[in-house]
Amino acid sequence: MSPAFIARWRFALVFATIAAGYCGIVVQLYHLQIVDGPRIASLAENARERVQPQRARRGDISDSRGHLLAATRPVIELGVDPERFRPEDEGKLAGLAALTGVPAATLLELCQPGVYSVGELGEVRKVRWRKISDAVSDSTYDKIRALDIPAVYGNRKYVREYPSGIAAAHVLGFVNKEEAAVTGLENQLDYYLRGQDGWREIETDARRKEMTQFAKREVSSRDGLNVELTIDLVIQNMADREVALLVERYKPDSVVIIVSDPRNGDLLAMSSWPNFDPNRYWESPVDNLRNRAITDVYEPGSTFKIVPVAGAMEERLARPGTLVDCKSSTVEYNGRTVRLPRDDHDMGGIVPLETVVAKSSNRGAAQLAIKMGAARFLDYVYSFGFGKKTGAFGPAEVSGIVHPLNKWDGLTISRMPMGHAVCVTAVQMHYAMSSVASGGLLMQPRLVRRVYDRDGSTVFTFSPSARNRVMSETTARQLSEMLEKVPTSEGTAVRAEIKGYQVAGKTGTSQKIENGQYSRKKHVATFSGYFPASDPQIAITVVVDNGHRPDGGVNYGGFVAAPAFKEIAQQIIQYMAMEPPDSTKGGMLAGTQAAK
Amino acid sequence: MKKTTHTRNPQDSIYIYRIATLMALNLLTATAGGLGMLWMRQEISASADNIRQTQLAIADTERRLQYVNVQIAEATSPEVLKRRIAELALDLRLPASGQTVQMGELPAIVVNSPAEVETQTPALRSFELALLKGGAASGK
Repeated sequence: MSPAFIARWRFALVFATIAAGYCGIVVQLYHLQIVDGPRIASLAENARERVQPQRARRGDISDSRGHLLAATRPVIELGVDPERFRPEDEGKLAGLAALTGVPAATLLELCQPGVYSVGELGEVRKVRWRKISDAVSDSTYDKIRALDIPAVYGNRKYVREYPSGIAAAHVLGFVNKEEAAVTGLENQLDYYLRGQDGWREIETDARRKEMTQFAKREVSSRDGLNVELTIDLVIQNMADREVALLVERYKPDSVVIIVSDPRNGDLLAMSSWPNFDPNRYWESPVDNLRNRAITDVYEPGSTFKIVPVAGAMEERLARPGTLVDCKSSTVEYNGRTVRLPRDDHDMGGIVPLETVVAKSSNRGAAQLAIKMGAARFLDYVYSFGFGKKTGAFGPAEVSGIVHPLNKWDGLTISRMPMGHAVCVTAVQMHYAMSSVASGGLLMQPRLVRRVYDRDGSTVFTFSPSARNRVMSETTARQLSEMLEKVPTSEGTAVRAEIKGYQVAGKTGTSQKIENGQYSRKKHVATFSGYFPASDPQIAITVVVDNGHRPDGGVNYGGFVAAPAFKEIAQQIIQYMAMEPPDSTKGGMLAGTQAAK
Repeated sequence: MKKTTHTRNPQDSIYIYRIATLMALNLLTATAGGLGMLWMRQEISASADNIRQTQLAIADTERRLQYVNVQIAEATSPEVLKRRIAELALDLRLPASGQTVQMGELPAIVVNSPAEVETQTPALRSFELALLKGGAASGK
């Protein structure tokens, strides 16, 4: 057999072609592997590897009895992948529209494929996600899945909810749509509540399904801690309801009601109007978001008289039964004549200290402060917590206005004792009055009882604490006995009287300043008190700013605020099954035995 | 042409068999090993999938639990309860102070006769009628 023969040129041509082909392959490989290798490898990696964030759930806030006040609700953000949308699914969009509330025409538009460009070079990419709805519930999502539209799917996310609506809204604050804790406890306790997000590094297949066996690293998310408040939702609701009634009845500019336990400073309710619903905070004017109990200051009026009276007794300048001159219109002080303020009621000349308190004598209070001297009196003002923040309500709280001694004018020594020339917040006034109830200790307001984890184990406890001692127990008891006469026919707040429960308190009616002058028409009405005086368990402060009485009368504390105090107090008595103090306890049984 | 004849050395045959056996065993081991690796990877993958599914199921249960908790909180909030009372026309009200009778420790029970009980105040009457035995309350 003769060997195969081909022409030399033909052989060279075939060889060159094959060689050129191989060279081409080598060049292409070089380009792919060496020149463009890193970029392509990175593209492949990006397509395959993903970092999947794991969102931490924000902790819950509950009241003292476990009712949820703020919770994180899981919802589903619904969207569509236009690339996976099938023409045959178009007929199902009507059903989807009915479930989501988005018009079918809009849905169809969202389902149309599209592109977008990214990066400086304008790399064009297909649109793989368009949002249909911000939040749908699980049950709705189940119905949507039943429609069998593969392109429509949801991503889980958390939204903050306040199940009790406006209840304690100002205390709680809210988390906005950017998940930033804006105000209130949400902001103050963000460190405990927010938790820590985690992430997983995963690989996906061509259908973007996770290949779990190739999961590389995982940092688990850590849910936020839960917070238990001292607020009692039921008492809070009582306060809210009373605020609503006051608003309806007197059309005021604002109302604040604070309820606390004076023994430990626990805040049981704090209601402020104008208010807002934290679930729809954007619908309320920004002004409504303010917690007026801590941000707004007012002249406290006669409720402030507890300061000169307590101070004078503590300094042993007065005691129960001490006669105070409420007749003289002037008094000599530091070598000059000081004109004393007029009294609203006829005090009848020289009266005992108890009457100064019960009848709320302006002159009597001024006389006591003058006896003490400005410096000592101012010490007591600060000691009661005025002029400084309580520190329990975060950055929004203001300190009020108490002028230092060098800024006092000639009238301040006679006006401040009656609650003028000083501005306080409702919360300062409330805790000042509570200090009388707690035996002379100014307690630190306590809003948070404990921080606990998902298993219910306590992580951190906030214990009650006293800020300072304002007066001795003896002085506090004696002052308390005087304050007991205020809500009686002898005092200014008979409308706050609850028979058998030893209510003690003080009214306040201050004129508002308008254009630099005291207004004759606009008043701030206050009643701050507690009960039972022999063993105080509840302290309540009601502040009504510029109420309008239907009969056109003055917005007196005893007329407007005191009844609200009584109403809430009676409800709390029923709710907490509070027994009347010993003197009246067991009346029925005593009656039974007496009948024998 | 001279024809040569080859006689096979039995020793050579043994080597050939041994080498063939070894090769077959190698192949078998490699195949088994390969298949084993494949099976192991599949098992790892399946286990990973199972674990992930369980994790997702737990997360889903916790999520639903949280959802239910919020729903309960909403349904039991005072405002909702008040609305429900109005809707159902239950006419429930807060007890007035006079409706509650405060009692200390229970006294030694001294039960009056029905006739005596009738002379008591309404609150005392209810209390003593409750303690009377044998249908005294009905006046027998």
